[in-house]
Amino acid sequence: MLFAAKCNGCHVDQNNGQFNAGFRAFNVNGFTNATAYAATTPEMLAAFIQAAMAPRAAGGGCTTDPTCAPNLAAYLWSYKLPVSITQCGPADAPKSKLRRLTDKQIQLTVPAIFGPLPAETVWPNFNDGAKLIGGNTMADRLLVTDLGAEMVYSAMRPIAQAIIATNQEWAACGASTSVTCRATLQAAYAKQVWRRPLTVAENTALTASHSSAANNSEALETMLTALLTDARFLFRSEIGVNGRLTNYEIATLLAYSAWNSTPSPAVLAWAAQPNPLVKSQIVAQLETMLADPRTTAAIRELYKDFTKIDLVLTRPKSDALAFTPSIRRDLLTSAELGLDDSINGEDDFMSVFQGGAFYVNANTSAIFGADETAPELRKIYLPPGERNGLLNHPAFMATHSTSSTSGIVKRGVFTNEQILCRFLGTPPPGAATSDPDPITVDPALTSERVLLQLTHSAKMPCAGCHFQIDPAGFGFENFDVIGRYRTVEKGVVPIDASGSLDGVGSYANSADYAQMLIWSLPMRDCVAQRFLSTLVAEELPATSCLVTDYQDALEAAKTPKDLLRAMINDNFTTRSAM
Amino acid sequence: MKRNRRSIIKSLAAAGALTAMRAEELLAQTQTAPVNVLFVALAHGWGVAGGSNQQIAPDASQFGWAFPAGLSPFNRVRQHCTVVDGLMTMFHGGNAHDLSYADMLTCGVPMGVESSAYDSHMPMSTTPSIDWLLQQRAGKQAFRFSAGYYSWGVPYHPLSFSSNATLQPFYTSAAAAKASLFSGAQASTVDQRIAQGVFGLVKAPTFAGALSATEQAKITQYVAGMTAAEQKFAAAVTSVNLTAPAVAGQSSMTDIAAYLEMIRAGFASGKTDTAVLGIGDVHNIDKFHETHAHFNTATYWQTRNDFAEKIAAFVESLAETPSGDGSLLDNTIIVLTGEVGDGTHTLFKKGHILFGGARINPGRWVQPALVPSSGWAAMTRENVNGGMSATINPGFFGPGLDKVSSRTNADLLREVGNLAGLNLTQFGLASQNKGSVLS
Repeated sequence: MLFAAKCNGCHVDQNNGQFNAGFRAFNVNGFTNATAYAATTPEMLAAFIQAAMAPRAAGGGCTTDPTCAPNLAAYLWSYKLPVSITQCGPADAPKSKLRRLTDKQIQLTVPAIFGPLPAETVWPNFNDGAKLIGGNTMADRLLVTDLGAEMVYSAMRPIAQAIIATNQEWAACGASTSVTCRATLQAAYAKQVWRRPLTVAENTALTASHSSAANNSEALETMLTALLTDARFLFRSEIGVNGRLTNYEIATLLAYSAWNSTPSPAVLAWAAQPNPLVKSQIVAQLETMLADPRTTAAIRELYKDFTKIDLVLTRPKSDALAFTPSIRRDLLTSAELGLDDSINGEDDFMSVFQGGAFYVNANTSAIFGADETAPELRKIYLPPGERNGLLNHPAFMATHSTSSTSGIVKRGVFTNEQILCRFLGTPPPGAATSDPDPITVDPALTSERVLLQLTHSAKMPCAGCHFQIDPAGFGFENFDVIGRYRTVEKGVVPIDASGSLDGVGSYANSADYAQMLIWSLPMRDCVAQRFLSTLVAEELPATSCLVTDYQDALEAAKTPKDLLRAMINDNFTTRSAM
Repeated sequence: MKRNRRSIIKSLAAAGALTAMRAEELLAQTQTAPVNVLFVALAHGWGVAGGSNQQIAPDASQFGWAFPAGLSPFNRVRQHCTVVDGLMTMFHGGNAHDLSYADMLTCGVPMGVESSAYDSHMPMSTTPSIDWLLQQRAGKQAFRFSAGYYSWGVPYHPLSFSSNATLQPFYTSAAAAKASLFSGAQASTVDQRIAQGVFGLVKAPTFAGALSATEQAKITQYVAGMTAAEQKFAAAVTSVNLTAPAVAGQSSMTDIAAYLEMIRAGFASGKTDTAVLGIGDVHNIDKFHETHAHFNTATYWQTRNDFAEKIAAFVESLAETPSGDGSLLDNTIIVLTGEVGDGTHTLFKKGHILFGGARINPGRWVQPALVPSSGWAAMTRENVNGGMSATINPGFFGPGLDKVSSRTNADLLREVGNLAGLNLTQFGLASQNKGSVLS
């Protein structure tokens, strides 16, 4: 392969017909893809290679050899087929869907409409559970089952009572004997709850639901409980009419993408115009919404879903570790604060994963190896070279470990499948019943890494997968089961957190490994794939036209907010039938 | 002359055609009472067959056998037990656990499918689960509980599916289950009026666009849920005393006893005839899968022993609960299974343990014939297109594959379903119906 030594860090040949990281770049038909490779001549391609490839190549690339980029471009150009890539069309559009609100979205939506509720409010818990691989907000997983229906009703009725007790308008009407105020409140609020105006029939049915109430308070409680229990509240509609989202559906999609919450009255008013919204209007509206501080929290949720750090609250850990609920909570908050800083700082959307600043308090100080004594989380800078950003954060490390060990295999599998979007496939023949080799070394004086290799990974047929899994886990070995930095394990055994991973490159330690991941094209592409899947609530394969378009759009993107801007393309309002 | 059932049984016993114990059990079995069925799915199975290193200890007769040390608590209720050693389930290569979760109670996961919209590692069934069929027949909601039955991919594994492959919900904490199933609150007039107003509205949602079949299914499930909730909130709930604690935040291990107590109470009160209990890594073992998956370790058998103790106690509690002329156990069938048979991923000869009354003819150790390698092709199952795989890949399970059972999981569940009142000629995928297991 031309310039293999320079380029293999990213464009490694998998010997299976695929080029990790390089697949897109080597897809010469992609040159006509206007968004990323606006190359119509070899010279333009050379310029693109020089500009786009060099910064990513640690120790390689075309930075020093002036013939590199032109020669590479000429070589690739020779393979260019006289075929143009088909741009995403209506058939490639996301599918028409109903998307049930998540627990978090309900918690944000109700106060956004009715004002703050008491801290002790008990919110619906659909018990959806956290998926380790893929997104937690996939539309086809979020359902309302029998138990869910019972839970929603049981939760929404007290919430309705709380609204009537805390919202002045509702409280005044509840205490009144006038029925007029019921109709006034219904007209003002029902369309906010259902995110669109009610039809005449719907208004009539809603009025009928509380018409037999003994008094206003009971009527309002019935009305609110019905509105909040109804499928038209619980499910966001992205069904569309004639293959196109309605204006209200667009407003709702924007609001839940940018705010993780419901469209405001102003946004609903914007959607009320009679003509279909056009792209320029949608882009302008999104820009307005991105200025709202709620956007930071919404983007934070994307990163949390990608890294699954919420699970630090519940991951089983050995009692001996004293990994208390308050430490877990503080670690998650620490990670969230760090994410917010990066998001608000307009960092590159991949740079959000890196950095030497961490929020630490007395509760978490020992885990970070710091000496903070304050109860509140404060931003500190840890020694460079030890801990690098979110991928080395204790919340991340403790989420991805076993109950008492670092969990090389767990971390390796998660890195491959979730961080790099490399599906490991099924175990090979014989793997299921393969007994470990007997231990011939002293386990107390041997690293877990070496033990894993000696007893399991190096033998056939296990090696087939562990060749890929283990190097993706070794790079986190500087961090123990709850994310404490370490250079030795078992008291005396030196830690070796170095390694080399296809498509990522060689690394010397955990901080270095995190940086190599962040710089790698496979992770960048995977972030794009995962985030877009979350935004459209549908698992999208790497080969999806939507993903390719999105990745191309992100080539020019910089900030986390660009993740949202990139989703508005010419097909943003299009939906295909299932 | 028309003779009643009791006199027939007594005369058979007097003629020596039935043992005294068997006759007693048959007499206790109330023909008119509903047959309750409990399915217990244990992560990594019960280890009773397949590649287990603790085998059942037989003597010369079919009834002279004993559970191994790892399942020793079962020996004290052995007279209520029939062991099936073992049954063919799946044989497709891949992660045996992930492939089996949705197949355990359905026998309906096609060959070659390894993922679904629910999870990238877990295929779904194309046929309903046996508990759903029993629930539909009885017209009573099944009790479905999970005590930490999960793996690394998803937090809880669904086990039950309707005829349109919709997963059936289950409680994940005993406290929530108790509050939902056994709360004794009586709805006031105001409560009933509000419920009437709310449910009257929410059962008829409308959307601007036309819903596809998949999206309509979500709304259908929602409406069904609201209909069930309406019935619940409108009805007076019978308060039942439960002896096992069900407190929010208690461990999953404690939850198991609470779940079993709720199942006993549910069967005894007639609130339900069917229950499903999933049990997972409730011991919080480090490297749970590695400890349990590839070897029959001491840890594996210690945990089996703990679970066997709980089930044995449950069997005893049913035996002590009066029902009709006999005990609740007489009209109950308990099926113990798992996504794999034991620590070595056994799917070709997966062991099952049954407890119950005379319907299962207890006391037996049933060993279906094994199929020689020349017959393996006939044991395959349908792929998604209905076609059959050519043969089993023996390489997946290594050398020495000689353990393919001639009877299947579907055969057992079909028979159990029919013993409980169904009238099934086929269950699960058509290919999986080979013949009788229990008779």
